[in-house]
Amino acid sequence: MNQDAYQLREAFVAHEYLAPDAAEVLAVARVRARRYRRRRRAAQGAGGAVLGAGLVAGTVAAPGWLNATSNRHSGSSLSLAAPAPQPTPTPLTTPSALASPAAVASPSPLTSAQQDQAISAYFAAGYDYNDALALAQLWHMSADPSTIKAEAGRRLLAGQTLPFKPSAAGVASAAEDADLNAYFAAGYTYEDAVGLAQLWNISDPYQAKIDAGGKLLAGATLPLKPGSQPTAPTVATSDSDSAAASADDGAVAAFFKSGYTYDDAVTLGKIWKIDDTYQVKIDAGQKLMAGQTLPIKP
Amino acid sequence: VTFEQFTSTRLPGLLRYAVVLTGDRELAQDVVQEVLARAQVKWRQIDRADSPDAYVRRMVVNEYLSWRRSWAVRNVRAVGERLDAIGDARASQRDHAQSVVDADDLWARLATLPRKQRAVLVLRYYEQLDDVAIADLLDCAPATVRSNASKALKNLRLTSEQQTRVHEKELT
Repeated sequence: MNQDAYQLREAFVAHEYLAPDAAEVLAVARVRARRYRRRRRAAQGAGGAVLGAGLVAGTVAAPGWLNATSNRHSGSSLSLAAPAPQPTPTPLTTPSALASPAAVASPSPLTSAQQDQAISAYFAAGYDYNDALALAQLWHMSADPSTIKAEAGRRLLAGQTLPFKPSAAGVASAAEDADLNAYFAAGYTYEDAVGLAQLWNISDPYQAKIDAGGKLLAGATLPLKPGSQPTAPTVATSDSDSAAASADDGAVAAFFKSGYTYDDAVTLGKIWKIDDTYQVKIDAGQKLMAGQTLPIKP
Repeated sequence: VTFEQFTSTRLPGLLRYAVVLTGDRELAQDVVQEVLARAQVKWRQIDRADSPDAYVRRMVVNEYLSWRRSWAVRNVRAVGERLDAIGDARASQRDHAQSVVDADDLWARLATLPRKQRAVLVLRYYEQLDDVAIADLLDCAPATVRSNASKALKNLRLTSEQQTRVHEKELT
């Protein structure tokens, strides 16, 4: 190991202690996962009809996806697990939007400012990183994701449509981005969000940032001044999160106490179409606690 | 492996990785929260991967590289704070080991790097991945990885020299 490598590793390891609290991170992640699940169900409910048409149209592009994927990964000796890019199962907007190498061509050179503008347009339209990976495969482009985002953004600014609509998560994050940008642009910090969450009785500071940003965009003032909260006062939030986690734990305990097992949770997940087995245990436990019966016996 | 088993064994390491990657405690927290929320929703798919841990770490890198929410604002503020803090530390705790000061100094300079350059250094020197593996992770060519690493090291040295020059100027 040369001197640079040694010094860098020393610097990295010496600051591992800054890692956030695992319990707090997990509690907020669980709250957020529930929200995403709700959104996904809502999106699935609302988009079921057009999804069918989209899947039919999607078969036209499927060989391109498959070929690109198999070409890229054939012969790879890497041990790292590579998440498959998420080809979003949303409808193709127009037939002309279908990927074809001739129609796509290579990205036009953009200046730095144009590239920033294009990338902003890309995110503003609700597309995200996974969408860029999907576009790269669809367009048979090997450029880095930023270049793909810039090219896609350039097309959007030119009034063109992309081969698929933004993923649900992207749409949600684009809508939230405006709120979050407004929140931080006003000088508010994470600590302020914790304070606001406390005032508004919200368990998730992230949600407080979004709500606060929305209020600011609507011209309202917030009950706290920017930067008015001391650093790292996360105790109250942890309490709220702990309360939520504790309720979940109670439901999970009720699930197991009734004689159900992990395998039962997997089966229930299939019946209820929920991927997350932990959430299944919570839902099932809550039903049992409410005196209801489950579709399968322990 | 269930999501709960994964988090009970891997989360502390994942958080250390995230804070080293981002250089910012709050950003690391935001990034990992976001990644875990998404991972929990599609855990069955992740569990089918050869290595769920590598999959989630990849999600963390991608999330960090595509994170746009106020990152620049927060980062500039954080670097300023860190540099001030280092200055204070130097003034008040001169008996600290030089290696600790050097590590803090280098940490502050790392915070000035573009995200991709920093990610390459973290993956190469903290995660100890080779350039081909990093290229696969970042979805770019190995030559791009080498270029980013080279630029990052050059930037770090330049910053160090500039700081030394400023310090010498102040002394004279």
